[in-house]
Amino acid sequence: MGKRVLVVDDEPNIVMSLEFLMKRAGFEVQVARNGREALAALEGAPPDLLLLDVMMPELDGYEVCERIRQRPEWNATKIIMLTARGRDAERQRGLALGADRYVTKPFSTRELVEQAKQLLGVA
Amino acid sequence: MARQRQGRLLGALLLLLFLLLGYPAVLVVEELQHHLGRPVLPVWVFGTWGLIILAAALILEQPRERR
Amino acid sequence: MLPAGLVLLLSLAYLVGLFAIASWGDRRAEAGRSLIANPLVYTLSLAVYCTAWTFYGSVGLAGTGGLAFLPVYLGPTLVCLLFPLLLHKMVHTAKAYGITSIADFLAARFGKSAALAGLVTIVAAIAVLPYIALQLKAVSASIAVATGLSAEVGAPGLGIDTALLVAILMAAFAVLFGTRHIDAAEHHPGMVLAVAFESTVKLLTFLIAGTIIVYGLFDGFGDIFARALDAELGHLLDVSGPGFSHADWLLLTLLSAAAFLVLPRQFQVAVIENVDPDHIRRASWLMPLYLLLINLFVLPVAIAGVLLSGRPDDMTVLILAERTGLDWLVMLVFLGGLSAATAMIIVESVALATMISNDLVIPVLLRWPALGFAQRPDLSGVVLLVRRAGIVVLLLLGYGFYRLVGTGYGLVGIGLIAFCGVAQFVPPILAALYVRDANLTGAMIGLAGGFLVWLYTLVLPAMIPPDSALLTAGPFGIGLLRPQALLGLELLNPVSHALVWSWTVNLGGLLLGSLLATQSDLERVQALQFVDVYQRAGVTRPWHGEARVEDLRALLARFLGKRRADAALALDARQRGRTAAGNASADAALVQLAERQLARAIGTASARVMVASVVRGEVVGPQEVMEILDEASQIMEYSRRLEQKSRELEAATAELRQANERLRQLDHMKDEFIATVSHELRTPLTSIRSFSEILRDVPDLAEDERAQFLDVLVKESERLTRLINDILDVSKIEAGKMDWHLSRFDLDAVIEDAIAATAGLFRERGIVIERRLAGGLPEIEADRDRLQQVVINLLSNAAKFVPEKGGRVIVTSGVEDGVVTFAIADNGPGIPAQYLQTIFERFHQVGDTLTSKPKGTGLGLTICRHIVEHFGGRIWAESPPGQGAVFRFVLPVATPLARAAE
Repeated sequence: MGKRVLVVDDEPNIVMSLEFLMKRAGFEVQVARNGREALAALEGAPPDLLLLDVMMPELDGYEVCERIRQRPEWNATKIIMLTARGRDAERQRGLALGADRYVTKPFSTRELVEQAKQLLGVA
Repeated sequence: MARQRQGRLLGALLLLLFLLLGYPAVLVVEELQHHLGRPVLPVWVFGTWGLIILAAALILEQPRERR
Repeated sequence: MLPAGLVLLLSLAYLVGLFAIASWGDRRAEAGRSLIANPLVYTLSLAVYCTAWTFYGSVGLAGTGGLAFLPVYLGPTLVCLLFPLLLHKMVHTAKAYGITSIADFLAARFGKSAALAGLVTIVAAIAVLPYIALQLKAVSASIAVATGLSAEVGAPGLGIDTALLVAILMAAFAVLFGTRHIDAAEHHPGMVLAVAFESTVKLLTFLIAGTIIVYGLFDGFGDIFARALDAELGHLLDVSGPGFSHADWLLLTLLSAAAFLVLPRQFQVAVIENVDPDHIRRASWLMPLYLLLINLFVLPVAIAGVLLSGRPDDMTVLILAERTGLDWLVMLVFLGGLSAATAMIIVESVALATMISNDLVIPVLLRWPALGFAQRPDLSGVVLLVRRAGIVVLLLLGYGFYRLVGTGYGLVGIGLIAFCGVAQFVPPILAALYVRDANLTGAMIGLAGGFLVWLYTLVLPAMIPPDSALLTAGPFGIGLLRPQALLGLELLNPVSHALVWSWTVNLGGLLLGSLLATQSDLERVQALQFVDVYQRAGVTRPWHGEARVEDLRALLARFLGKRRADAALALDARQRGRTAAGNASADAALVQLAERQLARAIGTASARVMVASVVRGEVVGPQEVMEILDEASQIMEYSRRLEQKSRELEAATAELRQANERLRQLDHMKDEFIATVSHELRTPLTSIRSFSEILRDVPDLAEDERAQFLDVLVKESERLTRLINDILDVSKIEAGKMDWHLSRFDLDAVIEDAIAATAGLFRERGIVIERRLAGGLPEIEADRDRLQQVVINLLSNAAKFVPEKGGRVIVTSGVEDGVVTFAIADNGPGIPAQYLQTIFERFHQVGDTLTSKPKGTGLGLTICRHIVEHFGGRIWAESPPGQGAVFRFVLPVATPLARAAE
C-alpha cells in the first residue's frame, strides 16, 4: 500500500515541484495551501508524512506542528519542516515542537526525497 | 527622598485636617445634626481626628533608612 | 466628702512619691541608664500641655459652650503634623548652639541681643503668671470640693491656705529638681520622668472617672447625648453658640497650635529636654493620640454634670465622682487634677526661672560695675541662687495674682489669655528659623507691638469691670478704640479678636523693621547659622582675635566652677588630640567652645559679653561676615551644582536608555529585514533549484511538463531579478544615495507612457482601463523615470487584484490647491482598513491574506512612497467598503521661483 504525503505550502511553484518529487518517489500526494487547510486535511485521514512550510498565512508551520503533536491519534504522522528562514533558533524551535526533520530552502531535491523515504521506512 | 515624600504627605494631611475639621465642613455637619436630631457632630469631629492620627502614624512609622 | 486630713495626707504622699520618682530618674541618668531616652516618655513629657485647665476647665467650658473646648487640642494636633520638620529644626538648632530657653533662642538668632532676651522674658513672665495662678486656683478649688471645706483663707477647716501650701511645695520641688546644675542646657531627667509619670496619672484617672460616670451614672454615650437632646441641651453638641463663631473655632485652633510650640514649658520639654531628635517622629502622632484620649469623655461628662446638677462647673468631674458614692474615685480624680497642675507648675517655673536669671538678672548684674560682680572669682553659686529665687518669686507672684484677681474668671478664660500672650513669640520664631533677612529691629518692634496690643485688648478688659466706660464707649469716647472691638471688629470673641490684632501688629512690625533697618554684622552671621543650621552647625567660624587658654579657663571656672571648667577644656583637648597649655593662645574653636559652654549657663547674650572681655580684637567685622557669607554661598553653590549634576546625570541616563532602546529596536528591525529579505530571495531560489534538479535528474520528462517547468524557471528568475532591483532601490533611497534626475514635465504624459508600458499586461487579462485625465496640468518638477515607475507600479498592482473577469481600472488626474493629483481605482476586493497604512511598509504583504494572489516583491509600494515623498508629495490608499481600492498621490506644482532659477 502506498504511503501518503501531505504537501503544505503557499507558493504554487514550490508545491508543484514537491508534488512532482513525491509522486515520482511513489507516494500518494495531497496538497494544502495554508495551515488551516492542512489541519482540515488531517481530520479526514492522517497522512504518513507532512512536508510543512513555516511561513504561511492563516496558521504558520510552527502552530500546525504544535497542534498535530497535541493529538495522540496523529502521532504516527512524520513531519518535515521546510523553511526559508534558516536561523538556528528557528530550527531548534521546530524540532522542539515535534518536527522530525528541519530542512532549509532551497534544498537538495535528492536529499529531501532521501529523508522522506527514510522517515517512512521505504528502502 | 523618603523624607521629602513624608513631608509632602504630612502637609497634605494638614490641609485635610483644616478642610474636614474647619469651617465650613464643621458647619455643614452641625446643620446635619440639627436636622437629624442625633449627635452627629461629636462623632464626626472625634472620628476624623482619630483617622488623621492614624494616617499620620502610618506615614511616620514607615520603615526608612536611618540617617 | 473626704476627711480633710486624709486629703492632705494623700496629697503629700503623692508629692513624696513624685520626689522619689524624680530622684530615681536623676540617679539612673547619672549612672548612664537614662529612663527618659525613648519616644514614649518624650511624648508623655510633652503632655505637660494638659494642665488643670484640661482636667477641670474643659469640662466646665463644655458645660456652656459644647464642643468649643476642642480647638485647644486640635491646634496641637495640627502643629504636631509639622513637628518632623519644624520642631526637628528647632531642636537641632538649640543643641548646636547651646540654647537654654526660648528667650535665649530668639536672642541668639537676632545678634545675641540682651535687649531682645529681656523683652521675651518679660512678655513670657507676664503672660504665664495668670496661668500659674490658674493651677493654684484649680488645686485649691478641688481640695475644697473634695473635703467640702471652703477654699477661702481664714475659713474654718484646714486652718491653712491650701493654695499657698501648694505653691510652697511646688517651689520646693522645682528648686530641687530643676536647678541642680547651673548648666541649663543640660537635661533634667528626673523632672522629665516625674512629668511623664504625672501625664500618665492624669490620663488614666480621667479615663477611669469618665468611664464610671458615663457607664455607671448613665447608660453610655448614646444615653447621655439622647438625654441632652431631650433636655433642650442640643446646643452642647454644637461648635458654635452665643459668643463663639466658626471663625473663633478656626482662630482658637491656630492660637493653640502656636501656644503648643512656644509656651515656655513646652519649649522646655520639647526642645531643651529632648535627648534624641529622632524621638520627634513618633511623638508627632502619639501626642495627638494622647490629646484625643484625654478629651474623649469631656463632652459627655460635662453634659452629665449639667443634667445632674443643673449648671456647668469647672469642678464637675469631682462633683460627679462624689455622686457615684465611691470615695476612692473622688480621691483618684483629685490626684489626677493635682498631677495635672503640679506638672505644669514645675516645668513652667523652671523654664521661666532660667529665663529670668539668664536673660534679666545676670546681664544686669554683669553690666553694673558698681556691684563689682563681674570681678568675683566664682559666680556659679550666684547663678544658681538667682535661679532658685526666681522660682520661689514666680510661684509667690502666681499665688498673689490668684488672691488678687484670679477668683472671678473661669479656668479656660485665664488660660487663653496666657496663650495669646505667648503666641507673640510665633512670628519671630518662624522668622528666626526660615527668614534670613528678618532682623533684630523687626523682632523687637513686632514683639513689643504685639505685646502691647495683647495687654490692651485682652488683659486690660479682664482687669476692669465689664460695664466700664472704657469697654463700652472706648477711651475718650472713641468707639473705634474699644479694646474688645478695635477698629470696629466686633464679630469675634475677645480672645480671637486679640489674636487677630496682636498678630497683625506683630507681623507688621517684624516686616517693617526688617525692611527699614539693616542687620548688624553679628546678626547676619547668626541669621545664617540659624536658617542654614543643617548645613552649618559645627562649621568653625573664621576669627581674627587673640586669647589665652588660661584666660578662658578662668572665665569658665567663674561660672561653671573649676571642676567643670577643667573637665570641659580637658575633654576638648582630648578630642582634638593636643594639650591645652596654659600660656598657649586659643584658637577659634576653643573660644567658640568656651562661649558655648558659658551660654549654657548664663545665656547667649551674656556669654558673648563675658568672652569678649578676655578676647582681644575679636570683633565681628564686615570681613568675617563676608567670609561666612562667602562660605555659605559656596556651600549653596556647591550643593546647587551637585543637584544640577545629578539632574544632568539622570537626564543623560534616561537619554542613554532611550538610545539603547532605539538601537535595540533598530537592531531588531535590521534582523527582521534581513530575515525577510532572505526569505523573499530563498523562495524563488527554491523553485529554481528544485526544477533545475528535476530537469537534470529526470531525463524521461514529458514534453509539456518540461515546457511548464522551464516556464517556471524563467518566471522565478525574473521575480528574483525584480526583487534584487527593488531591494537595491529601497536601500539606495533610504541611504540617500539615489541619483535623482530632475526635470519639469506634465503628469498626464507620464501616465500615458506608463499605461502604454503596461498595456500588454492589461490586454492579456482583459482588464478595461479608463482614463479621466484633466489635460493642461501645470508642470511638476521631479525625476520623470522614477515617477513613471510609481505609476507603473500602481497600475500593475491594480491589475493584480481586479477580478479575473470584468476587471476595471480608472486612472484620474487633476489639479487643486497648488498640487497635481493622481488616483487609480480598481474593482478588486479592496483593502481591509487596518492595512491602509501598513501596506506602504517593506514586505508588508508577507503574512497577510492577499498572498493567494500572484506575488510581488513586497517593496513596490514602499518605493512608491519614497519617491513621491522625496518630491514633496504624499501617497495614500483608500478603500470604501465594497468599491475596491483607490491609490492616490499628490505632488506640488513647480514653483515660479524654481522656474526662474532654471
